Amino acid sequence: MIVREPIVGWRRWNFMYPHFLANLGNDTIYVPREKIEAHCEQYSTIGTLVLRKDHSEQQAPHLTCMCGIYAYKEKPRLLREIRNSCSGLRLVYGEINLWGKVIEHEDGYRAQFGYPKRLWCTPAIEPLAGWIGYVYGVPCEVMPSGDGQAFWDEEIKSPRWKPDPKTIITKYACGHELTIKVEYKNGTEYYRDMKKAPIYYDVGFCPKCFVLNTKAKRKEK
Amino acid sequence: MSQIGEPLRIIEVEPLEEPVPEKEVPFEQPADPVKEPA
Repeated sequence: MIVREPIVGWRRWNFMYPHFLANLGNDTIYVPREKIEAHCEQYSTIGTLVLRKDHSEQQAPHLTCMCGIYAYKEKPRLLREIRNSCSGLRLVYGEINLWGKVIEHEDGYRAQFGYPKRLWCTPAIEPLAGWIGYVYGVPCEVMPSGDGQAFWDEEIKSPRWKPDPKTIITKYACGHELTIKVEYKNGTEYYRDMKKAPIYYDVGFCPKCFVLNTKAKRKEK
Repeated sequence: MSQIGEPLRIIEVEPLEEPVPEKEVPFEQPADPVKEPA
């Protein structure tokens, strides 16, 4: 079955000030104005077991794996997840176009390629809505009241968790430097933290001049 | 896979044009409105 229009799903991102939408759960950066492509880390599941499996000769996502660009089919399902999790104040959610190989699930999709289609941000970063939309080249608005704005207003006044922010300075080969703030949940260590591996990849287009950089360096402070 | 339920089918999506905006040079970035905890 071949479809000519992208499939539209719903997902959320953390906004890494000043430029990036990111999935901090697996350290994935959505580089502005570049499609994101799924890569398989070669795990598969049988029930609750997670097994290693070599998918290297096939294109992600794989039917029996957990790889792919994730999105829900319906907005209410996404909003429920957002309200039930500690997401941080710099939260962006919205529609995402999915294409390439797409595996349809009961409640969502796993896709080969993705790019945001339309975005909404939480009240805490309302002044950045226009900026986020400009950087990503898609509409970005402040969340409407029906999406739980009252919940987020309360979060700003008395957050359920205090973010543990980390500031990272990245120097790109083009000469530009970027300062990015990352929020962590207290008491939560992401997998790459435990490995002491980079928390994101400094490869891609510099968001200031859009020159392709493959040798960026970073330091934490 | 509990997050999105069980897989149902594979769909090949080949849009006539990839839905990715062209690159532009951004303007000066705004200040971060989120206050960090002390």
